Amino acid sequence: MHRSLNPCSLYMVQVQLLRETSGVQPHKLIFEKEGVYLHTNAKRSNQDTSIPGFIRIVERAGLPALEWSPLEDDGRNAPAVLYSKKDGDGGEEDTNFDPGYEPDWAVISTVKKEREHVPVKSSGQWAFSLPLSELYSLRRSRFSLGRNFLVLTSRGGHPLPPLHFHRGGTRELLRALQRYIILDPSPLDGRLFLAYPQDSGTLPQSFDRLQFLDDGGNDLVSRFIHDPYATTFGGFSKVTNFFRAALRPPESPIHTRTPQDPSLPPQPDEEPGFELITCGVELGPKPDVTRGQPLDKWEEFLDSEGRVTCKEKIKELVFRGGITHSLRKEIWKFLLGFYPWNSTAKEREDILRVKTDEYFRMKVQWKSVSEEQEMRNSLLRGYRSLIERDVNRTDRHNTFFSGNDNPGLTLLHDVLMTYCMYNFDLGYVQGMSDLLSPILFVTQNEVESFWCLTGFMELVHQNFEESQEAMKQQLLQLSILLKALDPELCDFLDSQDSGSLCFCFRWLLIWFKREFSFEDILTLWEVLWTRLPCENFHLLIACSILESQREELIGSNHDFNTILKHINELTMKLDLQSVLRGAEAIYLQLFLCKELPVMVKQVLGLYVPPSSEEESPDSQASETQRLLSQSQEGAAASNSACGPSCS
Amino acid sequence: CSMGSDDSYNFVFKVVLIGESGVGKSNLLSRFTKNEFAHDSRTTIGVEFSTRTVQIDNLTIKAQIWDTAGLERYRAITSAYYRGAVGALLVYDISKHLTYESAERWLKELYDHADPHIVVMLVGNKSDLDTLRTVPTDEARDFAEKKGLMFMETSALGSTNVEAAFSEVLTAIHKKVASREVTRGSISAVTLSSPLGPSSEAQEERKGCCRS
Repeated sequence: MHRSLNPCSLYMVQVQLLRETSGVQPHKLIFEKEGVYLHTNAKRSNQDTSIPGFIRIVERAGLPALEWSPLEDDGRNAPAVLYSKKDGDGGEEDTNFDPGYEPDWAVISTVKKEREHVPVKSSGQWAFSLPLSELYSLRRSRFSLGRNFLVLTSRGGHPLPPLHFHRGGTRELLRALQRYIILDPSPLDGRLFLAYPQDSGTLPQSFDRLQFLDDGGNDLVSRFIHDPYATTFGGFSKVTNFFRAALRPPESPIHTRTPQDPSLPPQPDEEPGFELITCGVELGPKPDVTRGQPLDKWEEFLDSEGRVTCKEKIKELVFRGGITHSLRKEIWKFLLGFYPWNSTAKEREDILRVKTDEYFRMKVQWKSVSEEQEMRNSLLRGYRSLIERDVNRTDRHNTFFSGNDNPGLTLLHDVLMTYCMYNFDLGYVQGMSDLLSPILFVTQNEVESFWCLTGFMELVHQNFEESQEAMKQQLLQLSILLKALDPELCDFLDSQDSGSLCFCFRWLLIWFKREFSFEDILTLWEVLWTRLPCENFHLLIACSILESQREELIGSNHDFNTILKHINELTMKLDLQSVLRGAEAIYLQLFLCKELPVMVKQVLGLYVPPSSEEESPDSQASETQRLLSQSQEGAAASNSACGPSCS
Repeated sequence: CSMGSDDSYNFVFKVVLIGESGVGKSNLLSRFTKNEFAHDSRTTIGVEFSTRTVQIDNLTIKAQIWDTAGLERYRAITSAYYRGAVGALLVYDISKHLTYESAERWLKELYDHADPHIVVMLVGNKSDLDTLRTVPTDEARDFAEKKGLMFMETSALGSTNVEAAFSEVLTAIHKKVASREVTRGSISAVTLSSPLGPSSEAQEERKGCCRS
């Protein structure tokens, strides 16, 4: 049973009809990726243009083909260049295609004659369709910036213009291709793959041969195709129709939707191409949210031996109002996992003793490295040099770090160096000094700040990893949320080439450290450290800020550059309390929505597999009920009784 | 080359700052666009840019200077950085030889991602630290010559040659555009358009040339 489409726009299903000139039969779209630029690279005509477009795998009459078409083409034109067997193209002129990047790559290309006479081609003329049976080889190269490009060669020896994947997706494409063909890495060159038909018997059908393409061991594409709901799309891209299809509620069957009966062929006079169909569910009104007063009691939450009697209650109060400054030093140690909530005062003394020893053991490790040793340890040398540079430019306006020879600077340096010994694989990465400085400022203690930093880093260390996969993932998750909340804003950002939300990078990397005042960051972080009311609440903070800027963004005719500039310049201009209220209201609004798309639920940790209960779990519901009631009570909440989870 | 605040302009030139962390990219930017310098300015995370409008050959040029983290991993995600750039300042610190040694790597990255016609200047910053110098001027100049780069030593702190460095790069870009060495297919289409500006037709190269 599937839901009927209704016109209110929450998310969209993009339906694509592909046609050939010869007929109007729709073809089955297997894979599609936008942001694939075809580099014409024809040096002799002094043209070096790149044309944005789509790469697709399409089944035409049951035969799979790899196709590229330019963005503006909408897929409505048949490919201008149909690559076929060599003997069909006899007598054509040879042209050297210069891929421009790989000196070891040189293939002679055959291009249709008419192209030679037209030096400046319209981008549509570069569209191609290559039956997969005609694919001979594929070369995947990578720029240091992480952008990949592919060079395909047909069996007839035709190299196709290089395709640059500006928004990723080569891995997914290769995986999708594997449904039809075997791609065997060349023993001489790991980036070159030779294509074989799956039934050729030339090669064992080993899926593992491509495993090295896969960093995480996850078969993203096939999982995505077979179970789009349970898969978080790991790519970093604009929303493709796959992605949009995956946003449908789980009951919807997976098939393309057309305005008419999908079983009938489209009418010949109907405009083929993209069609946006809006459907979805309505979000209810935003609940009013009231913030509370900072938590200013502590002793009364401890039993006679010093155990915290009601950690859930404390977290709720912190979530609602933050912590009064004098208590931060104590409570942060619990929030950041240095002290277990159920530890006694005596146990905490022991923990502190053990952890102090452990800290100084690690500190001695880098302190005792001689200059000569360091000469032969480029990693440590690199970390140290970065730390020394960054310590001098971290929060120097704060009295704790201002002026020369401020002991705060030495603490910052030493704790960061010791963190390198604690996690040498990650080491020091820029941004980490931003995370430490508020902690050091609050704890005013080297050992405690170190262990609190490790607790914070448990939450965010992936942000700093070389691959940046976690950052890409978060930006994608943010776009999933924003799509559900404000499709119009999303569409606007997409239209300005800003759909990747990369202008939010700094926000997410260091949890808004550069966007708010130092004092506000203390509050924001302790709110986020409670991990309430859902997973990824920091993404809702981002949504809240974006929502507050939507009129300015959409109304002011911003482009890619000025969007970036506007967002950057919000720094120190945002009101934290209203941002927090907005984020919580968004959470409640999403939570109360009965038909929340599964991907949104997954981002927020609200997804319950269908095998168990259909509705959200009791624990989440009761927690939300508490939040709802508290948001109305506001400050009065601090006097209310403990919630159910505390009993 | 003088300061201008008028929002109308003939060209927008996007110029990127690249080089190792801590060589002074952000301070070169703030010195040029705001005449500001801060010893303790924060590390750059993500991408930032500032603009300044200058006059070159009676043309109004809006210089859009992009600044980013020296750390490579953070640029991967903001790949728009090089898009449409027509100029680059490859910055090193004259007192830190390592930052100079990495110039070749930066150059490779630049040519991998940017327009092949991009105008590049090698900039030895912190020339005020002459007593701590580890990169001889001649060595750097020879390297620049070999690689076909422009070259200058600057001090954002002392405000030495900052104006001159940007100005020379912008002038060189303008020359390339005017001499039509750069065809519409590559640089001009991407970078000379100014959809926001009142003179968006300024992307017509001819008009730019005829005005001078």
